[in-house]
Amino acid sequence: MNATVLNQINPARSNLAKLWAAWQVISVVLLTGYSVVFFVSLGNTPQSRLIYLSLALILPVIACVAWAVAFTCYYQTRYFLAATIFVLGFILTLPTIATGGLQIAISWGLLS
Amino acid sequence: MNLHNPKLIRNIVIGSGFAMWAISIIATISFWASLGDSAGSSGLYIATGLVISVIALIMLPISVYAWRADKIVAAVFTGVVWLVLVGLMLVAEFGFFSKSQDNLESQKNVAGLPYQAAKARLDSANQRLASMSNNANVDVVGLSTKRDALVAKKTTLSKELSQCAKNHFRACINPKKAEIDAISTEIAGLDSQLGSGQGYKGVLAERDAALKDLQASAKAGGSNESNMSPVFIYGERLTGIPAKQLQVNLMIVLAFVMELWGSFSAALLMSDILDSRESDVVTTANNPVATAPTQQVAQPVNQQPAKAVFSPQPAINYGGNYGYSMIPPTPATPTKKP
Repeated sequence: MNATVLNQINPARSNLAKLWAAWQVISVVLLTGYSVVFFVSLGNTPQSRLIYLSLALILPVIACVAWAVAFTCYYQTRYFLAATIFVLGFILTLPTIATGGLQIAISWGLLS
Repeated sequence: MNLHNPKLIRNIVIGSGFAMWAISIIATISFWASLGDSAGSSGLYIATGLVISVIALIMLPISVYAWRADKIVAAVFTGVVWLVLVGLMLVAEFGFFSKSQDNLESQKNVAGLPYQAAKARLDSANQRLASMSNNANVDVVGLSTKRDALVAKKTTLSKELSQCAKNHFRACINPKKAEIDAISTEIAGLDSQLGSGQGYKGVLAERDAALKDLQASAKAGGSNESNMSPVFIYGERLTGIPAKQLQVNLMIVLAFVMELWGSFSAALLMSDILDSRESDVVTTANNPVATAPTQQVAQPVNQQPAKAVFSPQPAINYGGNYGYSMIPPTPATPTKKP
């Protein structure tokens, strides 16, 4: 990624980048929120609901950390480590995106 | 999140790892407790689960510690023990997820329409059977045989009646008619009894059918996709992977993340502690002010800075016992004075 592209996606540099950052925050909040709705619905007792709720909240945090570490490794030119952690980040992100996305689609009536 | 702040990332990893570990302990203990058939055996299972959880958490950091101390055999051994215990924990976590999903689907199944319809039919049949209890002992087969015999006798008498001379009232027609009337009355009585008996048997058959439907509905509860979360059902439509398989895959991923993230963060913490201690030792060794009061080994002139190497056994105490040793300094070749 060259410097021009980096400048474009730097939130401090352009309005487009600010919009992009806002969209990222909104999408993460939406996906996490609806993922929480889905995970809590999997529990049948207060204890199991609490376990699923904690999982739903911690999973995105772990996924974000994995992506952050992967990008850091990438910029440090540790490409193998970066690729490995990218895969890990993808696996960690998948449950939140898939369940949150499907729950949004169902709740908003996009799937019939 | 500041990507250039590794300490923040490290803290988040360690914090989330320990949170995951706590969740995994609650989940596995819930599963272990369900295996016991009494309070005592459940307690034993819980204690076993707790011990396994704690040992599984500390085994990977111990393995890291041993590896960095160049104790490869100990590191590999503890690593293998960690793998075995993590396997056990994974089974328990997957068991917890499966059990909670089965219970949830059973609850949904019981509240579902097919189950409720079968239950309503069963209740109705039971009520009717209770009100018809006096018909329970009616011998339907015996009564039917008797009725058939009476019907045959009536047919014979009717035939004989038709063969009577038209003016033989006293000798033929009247006795036959009286006999036919008596048989008809008897048949009517039998019909009434048979009706009650057969009605009871019909309700009994209805109750059995309702009971079978109820059992089939309860049995199918766990495998019935309509009781699963709609997310899995729509997931099946979108991906083509069966909903049940999607559910199992999600449970496997969750179990792996829960278990591995806790151990990974514990290992990271151990590695971090070792790193900071090593740097402390190097700093202390290179700081003559800090080392001077407690220096016990005479340093030769022209001594090169000592190299800090991690070792679990402290060989030389440099002021604070960090669990480290320094490689005994190799005497430098004396420099010739000009």
